Amino acid sequence: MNQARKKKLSHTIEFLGFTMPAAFAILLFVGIPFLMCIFYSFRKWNGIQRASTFIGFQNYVRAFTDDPTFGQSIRYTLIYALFTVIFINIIALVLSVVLEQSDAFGKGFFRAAFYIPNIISLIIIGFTWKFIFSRAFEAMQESTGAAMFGWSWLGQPKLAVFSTVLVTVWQALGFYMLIYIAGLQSVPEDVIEAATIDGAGRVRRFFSVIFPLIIPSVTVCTFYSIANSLKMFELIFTLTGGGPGTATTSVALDIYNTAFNSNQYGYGSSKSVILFAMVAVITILQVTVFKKKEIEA
Amino acid sequence: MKKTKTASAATFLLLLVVLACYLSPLLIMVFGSFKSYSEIMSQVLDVPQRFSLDNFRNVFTSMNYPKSLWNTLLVTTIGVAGIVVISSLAGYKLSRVKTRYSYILFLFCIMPMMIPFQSFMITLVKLAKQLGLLGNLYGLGVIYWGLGAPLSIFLYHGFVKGIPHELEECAMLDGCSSLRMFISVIFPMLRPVTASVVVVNAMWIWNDFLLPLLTISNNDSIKTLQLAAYGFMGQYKMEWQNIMAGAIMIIIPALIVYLIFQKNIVKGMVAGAVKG
Amino acid sequence: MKRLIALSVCAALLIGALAGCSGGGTSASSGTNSTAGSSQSSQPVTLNFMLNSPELTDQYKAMVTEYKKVAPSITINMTIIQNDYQTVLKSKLNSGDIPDLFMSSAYNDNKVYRDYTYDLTNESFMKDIDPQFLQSVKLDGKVTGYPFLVQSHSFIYNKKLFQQAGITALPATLDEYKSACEKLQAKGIQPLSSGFAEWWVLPQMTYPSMSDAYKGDYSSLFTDVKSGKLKFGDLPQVDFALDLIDLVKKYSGSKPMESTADMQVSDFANGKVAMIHQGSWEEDSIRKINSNIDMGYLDAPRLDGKSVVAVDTNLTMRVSKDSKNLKDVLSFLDWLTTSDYGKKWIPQVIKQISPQKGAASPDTQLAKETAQAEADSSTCQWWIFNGPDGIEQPFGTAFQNYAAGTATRQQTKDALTKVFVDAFNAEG
Repeated sequence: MNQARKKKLSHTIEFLGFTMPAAFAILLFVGIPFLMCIFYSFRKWNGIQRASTFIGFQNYVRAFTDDPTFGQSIRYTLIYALFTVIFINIIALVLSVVLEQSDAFGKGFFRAAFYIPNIISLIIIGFTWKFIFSRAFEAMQESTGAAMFGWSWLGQPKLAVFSTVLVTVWQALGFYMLIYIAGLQSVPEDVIEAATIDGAGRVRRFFSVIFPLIIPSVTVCTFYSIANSLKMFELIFTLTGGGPGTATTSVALDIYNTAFNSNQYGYGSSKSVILFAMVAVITILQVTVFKKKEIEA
Repeated sequence: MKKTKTASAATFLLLLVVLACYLSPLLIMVFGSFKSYSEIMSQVLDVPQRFSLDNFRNVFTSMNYPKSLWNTLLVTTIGVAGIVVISSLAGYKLSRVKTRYSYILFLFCIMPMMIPFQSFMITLVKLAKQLGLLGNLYGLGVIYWGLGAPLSIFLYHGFVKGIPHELEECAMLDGCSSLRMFISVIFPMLRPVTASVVVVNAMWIWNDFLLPLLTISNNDSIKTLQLAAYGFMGQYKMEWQNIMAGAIMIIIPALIVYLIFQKNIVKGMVAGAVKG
Repeated sequence: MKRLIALSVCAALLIGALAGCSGGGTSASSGTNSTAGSSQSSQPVTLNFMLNSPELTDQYKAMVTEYKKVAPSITINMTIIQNDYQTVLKSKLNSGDIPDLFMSSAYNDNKVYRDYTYDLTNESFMKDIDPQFLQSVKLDGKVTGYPFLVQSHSFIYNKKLFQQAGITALPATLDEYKSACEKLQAKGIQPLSSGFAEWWVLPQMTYPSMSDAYKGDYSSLFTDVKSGKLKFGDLPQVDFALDLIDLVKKYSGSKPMESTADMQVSDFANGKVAMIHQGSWEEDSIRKINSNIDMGYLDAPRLDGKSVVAVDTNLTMRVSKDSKNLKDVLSFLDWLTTSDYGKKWIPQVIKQISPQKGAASPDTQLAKETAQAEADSSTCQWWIFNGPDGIEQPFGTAFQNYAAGTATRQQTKDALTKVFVDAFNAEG
């Protein structure tokens, strides 16, 4: 009896010893600051003056009932996230499969090359693409006459939404390919060989043998791309600044504007809490659904 | 046999074309880095009239490049090393222990991935000031531990599932303590995912701008590369030629780090699997 | 074994990091100790300045180098940023890591930063500032900041292109602007570059054109907006501003919503467009691209027919009242105002207009045109900053939505009304 309790105790100590350094760091640098953010979400505060007043749920009520910009930013963020997640995952998966399953020469070179945009900071990416959309496209239109270069990629509201998706996919692709390639490499050779002997073609082999085995990678990539696109900030900040108007204002950008440009820090905090809840609900739903699929597979 | 050769040559060419399109935006940046400001503005797409290194020379001095590079390396190393240590320990344990508390702690650890940084940065800086972490590179590196751990724990957690339990049981029978066993048996098995964790976090810390701006910008003598390059972008004035040259000088060391670790990822990936 | 070594290296690094971190902490605190005890300028003192307008970086540095000659024991540590200025300043103020001197806007910012700013009313050097520019920094009769630069903005035009198009009388009303644009277009010259991609250019363009609101009695204007007696969107000047936006959009080429400030500058400097709405701060950038361009200000049109150039001191230096080196900061400002170098720094180094009494005029075209406008008394204040805090960006966004076609005229007016209601509520 005593022995068992002792063993249990030592297991607990061991568990804590392994997990506490990380848990403590996270608590300190994210947990507590975020709790303070929740605290301010119930207050009226401009982020500068020393005094703030408690106003209950007024900030939350305002966000849901009296803030068209916030509503618009949620709508944009959901559309942006939907397309980004779909495009990123499909393109990254297709490219990874082509790279890994073919006998193409220079695999390593391609793997490295596709990762390059991921090495560059989002701020520089944003500025560079802004330059391309405005300056380079203008020059391309002059030399080729192609109509698409004459479009206002960042100035026409709907097209600007597409442009933000395009640049995000371009930038992030390499990261997701990294995870998919890792997943593909973990598929045992003999399984594929068996399928080949059974006479399955490339496409059938992929859908009936390989894909079910890499669903865990799909879960990771989808989770990560959803969480990242729902809270996207830097790229949009530098690429479009949320414009034209509010056409590409993401929730994170709206929070930033509210807290730092309009000096309504308390209100911005309440929007942050709402965004957190939104990301949490969506990602938990996604992971639950995908986990079921993993088990079935 | 012949058929596969043509097929693979075709795939190779196809990939090459895709890659060329994919990286073409960067070519504009590379060309731009050799041009003067007015040349960038007037001949956007052209190959530079001459490959002058003037911009690089300017940027090298105004960014105080060797010093900034060293600072960035230092912050990145401290950040990444800490993240790897705490996340591999936690990710491993949280994956192996299957109790309710363990799961709750796991959720707590990955929760920050759902919080936008902008929403807690002011309070984070406030806290960091009280902890004496402001104004020096070590403090900055340490803050990254908390910010980088969630994704890393998530990656380790998934990967550990793919490692057979038998190994640990054998080690236990040999009388290993669990920490010794982790260090000598488990951690080496985690090499591929460690390589991914290193790459992902190193790239992020290397390129991070906002946190260094908030924590070390009060000290002019310690600038990271990103902070040093920021001076080229004003509200009223964009020094495109310097931005582009600066970007390239920031990318090159990162690219080298990536290439070193990529080999590791690929070597190791065959042995293990990434599993959710 | 190799792995063990690798891991112990990691561990060593971690320990080193921790040790280094505590070491850094002590050295920092010893630094403040040494500075706290020394207002006699013999001991080395470091002053932290937080400045915006990075386009002035070289000029700031030149000034600091000059000050070092006068006060060798004082080191000025500058943080110069723009896009994230608000963010960084807020985090510094909140964490207690307050810069000894920081910059902000004037007017409503006097109130916003009042918890932190030192009262400069009784400082002798403030007597050297032209009283008309002290209005912008006064709160309840007290001087809360140091106005350091007079800036102006309006439509800037290329004189040569206007000549080519045969425009002899400079446009002053909306109709005259329209006919000028037509004439330019007929000659194949793009009349304008809008700058509409920047949220700050749009509203800035409309401020002079709305400055006749309430006949210039801005305090009653904002009292009425606050009390709800007036819906801001119902001002006739708002309609006029929207007409102006329509006009600028129409004559700004095929991608008016993508025009950024640096495109405005380069298009204007290269002679591609004839007009931009910008300010005196851009002259330097324009001349860097085309040094001998001949340019000038056009008065911005107004509903009451009287056209104006906006002239004011908005950039304000504020001294932290809790600064441990208060005396040193004040003697720095004294030097900046009364020394020979300080007097010529703004007109000759920055090449803009100084708010100091009897300051030399800068030898730049836009500064001369500004002086001319002042002489003709066809100027207006940066009046919008008399309003509540934090309206500038939502204001710009509302106009951007209108210009991009995502909001109708009525929706835009309603949005503007709401911007003010929300901002006054937030101030409460």
